[in-house]
Amino acid sequence: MTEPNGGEPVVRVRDVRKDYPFGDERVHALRGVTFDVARGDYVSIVGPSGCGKSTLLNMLGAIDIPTTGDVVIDGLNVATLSDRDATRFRLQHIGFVFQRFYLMPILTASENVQLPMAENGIKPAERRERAKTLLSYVGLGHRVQHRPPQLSGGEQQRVAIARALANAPALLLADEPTGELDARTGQEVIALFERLNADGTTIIVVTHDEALASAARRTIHMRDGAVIDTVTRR
Amino acid sequence: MISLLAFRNITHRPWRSVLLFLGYGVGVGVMIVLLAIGDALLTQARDEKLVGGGAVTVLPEGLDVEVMKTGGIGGLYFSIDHSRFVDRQLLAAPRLANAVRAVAPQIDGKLLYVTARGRSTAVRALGEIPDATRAVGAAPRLAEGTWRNDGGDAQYVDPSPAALRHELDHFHRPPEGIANVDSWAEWHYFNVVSDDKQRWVFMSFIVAGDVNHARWGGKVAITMMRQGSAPRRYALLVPSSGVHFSTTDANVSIGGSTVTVLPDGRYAVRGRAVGEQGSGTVTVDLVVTPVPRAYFPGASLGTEELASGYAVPALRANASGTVCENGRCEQFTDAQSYHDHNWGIWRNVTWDWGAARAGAYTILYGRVIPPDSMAPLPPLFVYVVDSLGFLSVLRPARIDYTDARVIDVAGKSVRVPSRATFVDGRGEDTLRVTLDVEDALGTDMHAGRPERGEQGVMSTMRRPYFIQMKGTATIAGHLDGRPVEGRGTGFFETYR
Repeated sequence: MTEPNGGEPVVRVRDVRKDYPFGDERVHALRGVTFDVARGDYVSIVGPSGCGKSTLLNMLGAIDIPTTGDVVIDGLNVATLSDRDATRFRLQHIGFVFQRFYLMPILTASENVQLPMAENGIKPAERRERAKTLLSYVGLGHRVQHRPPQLSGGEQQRVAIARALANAPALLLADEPTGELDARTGQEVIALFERLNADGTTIIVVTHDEALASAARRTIHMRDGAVIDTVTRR
Repeated sequence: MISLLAFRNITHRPWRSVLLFLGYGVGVGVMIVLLAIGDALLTQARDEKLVGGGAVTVLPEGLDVEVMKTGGIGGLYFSIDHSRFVDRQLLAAPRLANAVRAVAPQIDGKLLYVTARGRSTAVRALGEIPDATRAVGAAPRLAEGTWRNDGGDAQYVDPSPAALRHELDHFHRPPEGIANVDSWAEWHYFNVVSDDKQRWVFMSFIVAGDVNHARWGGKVAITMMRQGSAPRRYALLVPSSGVHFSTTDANVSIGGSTVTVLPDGRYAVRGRAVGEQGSGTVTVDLVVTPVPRAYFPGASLGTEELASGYAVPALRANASGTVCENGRCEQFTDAQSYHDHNWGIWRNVTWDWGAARAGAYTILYGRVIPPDSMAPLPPLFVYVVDSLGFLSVLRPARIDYTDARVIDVAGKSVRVPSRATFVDGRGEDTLRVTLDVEDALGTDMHAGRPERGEQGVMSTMRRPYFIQMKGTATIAGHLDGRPVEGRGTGFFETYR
């Protein structure tokens, strides 16, 4: 198992605050969140609904920017990016896994995995080869030409994970990746995440799933927009 | 990858795709039809045949383009004043040659009456210049034959200099039923000034009286002027039997005196008159050459009691020939000259008027004040031409006279102008005109003047002294986007 890299953290969050206008008032979604995620780390973020997990995940994914504070991903402050640059940054540096798999039902598993590679300008032959490798890695080497409706929920999520890894991202963000799965297939995904991390992938996962959260090296507990505790396991 | 996605989307649910394609096809079809209708509307809106013009459409005052397009009733009765002038001196003039590619004059829906076998039938008529209409892309599709300019069309577009003189300078008949018709008068007026500007001659060839019926005749009036000296007046009255004039051309003969338009458009002016005191004679034999495009197309006023018109066929001209006074002749060679044409009933009418060269520019200004008018004085008009023809019209609200000169008029001392100024601005155009009077001649209008139809009539004019002045005009300003300035000799008139 690869230990987290002790050098420059892949994620650096500093005193991040996020406010939203709500009528005449302002809602404080995040209230000064600070933490680092080292390269190769595996962090879960847990907390009750409305605690700010998804807001934080949006910032870690360069989808949103903080009202104040810094979110630095792979050395780049996401608040400084234009929309166009942020899109490019997400494509090349961040992989997303969602509760719902968001696969294209009309494309095969391989083609779904190739989609972000095509956007990144990788040549067809190379992306076909990489898709095959990634699908084999997630245990779907025999389902390459199947379309999502022909796959089980766990298999679809594994295709989605393979797609998230397509452009070799520095960071894999997962938002309730087991939320749609039964316990058994959820365990398969948890095991896959552990293997991914063991092979060097930096993972941040937001979840209510205790099994998934406890699989991470470190768990950040949030409440009312603030980090109230951090538990490090290994 | 995107094309793969699109292809898969189509083939994934073929029936849905077919349905979508059909819907899309119907939508595109509807859009094509709507665009075609819109295009037809746009084409119709731009159709020169419907609108009456190309990029710029000149309409009768008070009408809008929609009325013309829809054939509104206004099209039956309205016309464009001086449309020939607008065509030749504005739209198709050399000044706009870089901006205007083609001009197509057209009259549409004109109400005419065709009379045949004693019956009159109202018809709507269309008139246009074929080559011009074709040049703006509005030529009709011919079933057969040709559609080309004939001689009349060519003369409208580009009349010969002689044809232009006759068009501007022909004689008129008084309107039937107008009051004081016996005071009708019409005349050609010429002047010429010596190169040193010290001597000048006024010449009028007058037809006066009720020319429709009886009691009319002709008069040649010649006034010899030397700066600082008293005028020497000569005249010759001729009965109607010795007078010939035409309502279609500019030629006139009064006894042995004639004004004749030569084939090249110059005027041959031959006149003879005797001293008003009965002694001495003056003979004039001049050829007056108008400068191209330096003309004023004419203006007319009309009420039940007042009818008057004025045109200037030679606002800037040169004259060559001789004027002999009692056997002593002066030769003029390309001397500064001017010619205008006046007609109407002038009893008790007064005016301010002047025409002058000012360097490269020539100005004409004036206003007519009807008899017994209680209205405020009308604004002046100032008309400016240069070598390219019409340049600008301005309307100064007033003319400021400085009456610092005193002259003797029929034994009375009369204060007359020594200077006059008027100023106007219109948009970005500005013009200041200063007239410095060098010589003035007064005529007492208490005694009637035949050229005004006033034989034996004691005038009741409030300003009974007619003042004719010679002097220098100075202009300065900004016209048509460039500075203008100039100075030169001119003749001016007013009343005191």
